[in-house]
Amino acid sequence: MSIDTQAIVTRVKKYPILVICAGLSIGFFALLHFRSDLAAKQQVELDRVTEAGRRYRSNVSNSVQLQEQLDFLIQANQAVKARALNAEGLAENLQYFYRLESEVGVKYRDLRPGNRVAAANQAAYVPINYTVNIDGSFAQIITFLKHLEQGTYFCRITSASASGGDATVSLNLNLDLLGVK
Amino acid sequence: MLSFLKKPSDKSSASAAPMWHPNFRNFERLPDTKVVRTTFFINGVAILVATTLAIYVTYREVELNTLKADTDAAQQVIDANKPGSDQSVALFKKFQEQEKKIQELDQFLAISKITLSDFILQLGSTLPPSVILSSIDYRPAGVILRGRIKGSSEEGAGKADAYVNDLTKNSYFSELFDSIKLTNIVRDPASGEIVIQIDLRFRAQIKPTSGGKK
Repeated sequence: MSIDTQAIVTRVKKYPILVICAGLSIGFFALLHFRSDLAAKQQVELDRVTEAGRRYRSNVSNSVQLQEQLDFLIQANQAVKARALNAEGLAENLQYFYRLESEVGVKYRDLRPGNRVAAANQAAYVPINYTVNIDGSFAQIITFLKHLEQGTYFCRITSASASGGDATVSLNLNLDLLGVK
Repeated sequence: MLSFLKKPSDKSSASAAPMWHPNFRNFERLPDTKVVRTTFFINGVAILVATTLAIYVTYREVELNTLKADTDAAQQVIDANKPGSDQSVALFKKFQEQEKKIQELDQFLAISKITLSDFILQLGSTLPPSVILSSIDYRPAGVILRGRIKGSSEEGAGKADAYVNDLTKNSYFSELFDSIKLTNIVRDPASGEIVIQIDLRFRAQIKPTSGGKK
């Protein structure tokens, strides 16, 4: 045993409490140093997990009536689809106008489909354009318009021009019917 | 006698005076004669520091364990709600697909700003007996009415103004149109009647009133 070591041992023996406390303190410091970022990391993890839990819980609570609402929307869309023309059925679609003509009693001066508008890829519906020029009495014209606007198929009139006298009214319409792809 | 030989006690001068023989005392081995030994203070401070650190480390560890326990509890909430949440998310995607179709329909109908049949009927119900409309032009920006005033041209101008005022005051038309103006008024040389043109401009934002209802 060298003199230095012997001196250290002597010192340790002389101040045992001091040495033990110093050793413990060094140990505690080391523990604090090496575990100092654990609490911060754990806090971040807790925040993340809490936020995720809150989101999952709110998803569940917010979707209490979602199934019913979805069923309602599906039914509504089925009803809308039933009131939309087949975009490819050109002849079939014209029959709708001829049926209107015979029901209401107006006379077509011109009836022709307009240019097809390219629908977006994800779009469910496409407008089917028609130019319709008709002659009829005022009552017949109003009835024809009512049938169009509140009839079987969804219709929007983009422009219209009505003119005429007491007996006959001429109506030129540019309209779109709702079509399904 | 000795007291007379002895120098008076003067500590300051004694300490300043050189020792008369070598000092062989080993101070390290001599006992600490202080009332409270230095070792007591050193040990006390060491114990205090170690105890403080121990308390602090324990506090930190307890805090860490609490955080871990809270994290585990939150994870349990996630585990409990995740299947239901995943199902809800899948359901919501289907809902969005269906909602998109309804919005498409809404956009389709929103372009048509008036229900034309209702508009014509309203126009007819507010038309004074002296005004005869010859044409109605409906465009995306508005409606143009053309017509003539029965009677003399002197009275015609006033009747045209009165008709425009009636249209402006009418709640149906004022809700639909931002401005209702008489844009042309001339006398027809052939008939001598006043010919008028009235421009009705749509409001920038109006509720879609298109057809489609059944």
